Amino acid sequence: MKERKTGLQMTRRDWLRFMGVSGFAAGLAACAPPGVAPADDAADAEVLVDRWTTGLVDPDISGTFRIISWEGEGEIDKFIPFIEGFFEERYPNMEVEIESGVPWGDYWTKLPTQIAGGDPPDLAWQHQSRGWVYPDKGWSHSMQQYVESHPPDGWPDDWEPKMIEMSTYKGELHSLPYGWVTWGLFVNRDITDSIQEYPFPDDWTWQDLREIAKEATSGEGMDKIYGCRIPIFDKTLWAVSMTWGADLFDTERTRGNFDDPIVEEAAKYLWDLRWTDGSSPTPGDEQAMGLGGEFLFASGRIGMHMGISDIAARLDNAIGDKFPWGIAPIPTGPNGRFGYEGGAQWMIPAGSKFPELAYELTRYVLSNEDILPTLGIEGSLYPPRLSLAEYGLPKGWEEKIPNAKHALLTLGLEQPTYYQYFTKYQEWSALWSKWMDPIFVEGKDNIKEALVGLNNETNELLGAA
Amino acid sequence: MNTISTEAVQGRPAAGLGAGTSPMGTERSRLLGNLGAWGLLSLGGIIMLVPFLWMVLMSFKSLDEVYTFPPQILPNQFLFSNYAEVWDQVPVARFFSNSATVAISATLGVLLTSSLGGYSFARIDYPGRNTIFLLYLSTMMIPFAVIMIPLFVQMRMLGWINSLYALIVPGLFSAWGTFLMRQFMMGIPKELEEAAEIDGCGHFRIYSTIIMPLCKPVLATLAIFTFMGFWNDFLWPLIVISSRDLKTLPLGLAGFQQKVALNTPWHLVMALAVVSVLPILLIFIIGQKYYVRGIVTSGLKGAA
Repeated sequence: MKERKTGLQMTRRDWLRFMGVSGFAAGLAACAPPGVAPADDAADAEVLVDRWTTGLVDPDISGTFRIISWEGEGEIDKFIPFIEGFFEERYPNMEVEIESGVPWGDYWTKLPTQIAGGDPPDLAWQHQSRGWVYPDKGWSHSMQQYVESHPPDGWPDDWEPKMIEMSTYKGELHSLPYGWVTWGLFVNRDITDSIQEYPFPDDWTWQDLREIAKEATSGEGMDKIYGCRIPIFDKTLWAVSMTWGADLFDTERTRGNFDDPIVEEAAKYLWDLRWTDGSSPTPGDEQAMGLGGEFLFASGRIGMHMGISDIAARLDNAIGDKFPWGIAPIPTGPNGRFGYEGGAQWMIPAGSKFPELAYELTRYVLSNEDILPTLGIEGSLYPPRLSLAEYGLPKGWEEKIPNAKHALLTLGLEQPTYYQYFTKYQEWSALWSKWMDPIFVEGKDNIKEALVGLNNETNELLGAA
Repeated sequence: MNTISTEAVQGRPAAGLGAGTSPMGTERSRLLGNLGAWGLLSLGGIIMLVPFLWMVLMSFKSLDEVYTFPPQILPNQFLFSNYAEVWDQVPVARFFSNSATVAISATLGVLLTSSLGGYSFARIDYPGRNTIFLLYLSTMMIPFAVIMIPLFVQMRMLGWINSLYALIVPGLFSAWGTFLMRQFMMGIPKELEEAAEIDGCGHFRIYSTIIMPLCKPVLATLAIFTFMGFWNDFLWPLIVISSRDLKTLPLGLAGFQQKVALNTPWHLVMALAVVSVLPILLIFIIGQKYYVRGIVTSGLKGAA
């Protein structure tokens, strides 16, 4: 006969129940959103009012200021001390939450969902490929009024004008650039010195590149050395076409121009590098080698690698002492040189809880000549102010690669025409893949037919058909 | 089998079958067939296993070895220190605890709601039952991308953005789980329930003391699938979680991979991937018997 326990005595089942309920309660508490920490100490601190405060924000403002970026820790770390310092000194009751390292593709799912769902971050990393998309959909906050009433330092004369142009949609500034890049050819001198004297002449052409690449290509299979590696996408086709005198679209981006014979010639040129000469690895080759992009160049199997300027410092680390290397400018042609790329910005998402504060922070970090050299010093993007642009080149490179500044920065800026993204660019990318992947990825040779097909569907999409 | 029956009935070998029709021949062809099947299955198994083995081996290599060309299979030296290093660089314990909190809570919740729902749809007669079930089932046809924003708005209104509630609560009700439970429960003899009713049991008593103990295999299947789903979930946590302290393992893994753009420390990323896979592997190994039995049983009963 089981004896029932009374009073404060607890049966095993009661104990288990108690533990279960306690555990459940503890679990629920652990799931709760993190609250804003009380800022008692901070409230007593002396608040700094200086030329970086606009007066638009109450110094006692409190809450959580959220920032989101695709940049990984290695890149975002250099921004963090300045961001945190800004709030600690000027808005001590604010908490800052920085979410970094969101994978690139997922970033563009997360950010619009947060905006559409009514809970966006207060400041977001923006890319030029979406520079028109967000304002067009009403997803970004205009900065025009702020810039007019409280312009950033050096505004506008010292700011890279094309980046400002890219940040502007229908006359309104929607973002401020934090950095920009140019294209160059990273050269493995062990492979090219016997063919082309280094440094390469400024007036070398795409035809020269093809000849050098053919001569530099040697070996077979896994031991093959490729003369060049030219990534092929719409922007590469644009750069070659423009050099020879034709754009891929009309200037307003309302009509395609892919049926232009010059565009066809440029496409054939890029196709030949891969499929006729075999001097640039195909995607299949890279898959078989298990290496791609900069890694392939760093492995010593590529003569000339086309890449953007911000990879220079990282390439330097990856190459080490394996081989001597240098930088050549993007080849030129009858219509000029098109080595300017563009860059990325900071924007205030629509629905931000602290838009004025976001602008103040943006203005403080991105126009401050005490901060910008640090943002560029890692050999990253060129800072947005032209007078400080060379801080974007890796430190101490004057001796190591003397022509780096000339090849990347001076000649990159020689003709700063950029590939203008448009509001339907993301949808259009699917058309590019549909028509051009069979050509450039699979190696089919019906180039003209594919370009005409792409042009027709482009016009249909842009409403020009 | 058909060959032997034909032979026995007609008293002569079936045309065209030759030596294969004798008992020895049948044995040999069966052996060959088995060998072929085993060969194919082994090949498939190896193909499935290679990426996993590659991940494990890479987690013990140095970064230089990861980028060695041509690639080498075994590391020169097994660097267990990679695991310690990743532990130093990333709050693995925090990610792990968040993933475990979400996956365990949601799995328990799904087991409860799906079994109750399944019981209702399988064992209780009420008007519109099948229509409601079909409506519920039809929610499986809606892609997640379609409900992502409304769900986000709901979570915002509840104040659950950037909290683990947002990861647990929306997943507590599973149409697929309810379907699985219903199909299984429909195969349990009605007599058991009737006997319990005669003894005075109500629905909840029948559910908890008669039906649920019989549902262990399907509960195990549902638990494994649900746990795996929540453990590996990436997109929804990515959207609603922004604090590093609340990130789950898949988010932590993705963030770690992004850490250095060109020099991704793949050996450490793989070490973290191995850590993240271990619980799933363990649960699968423990529950394998129930998992397979549950799939087979629920499939057959469901079709009946």
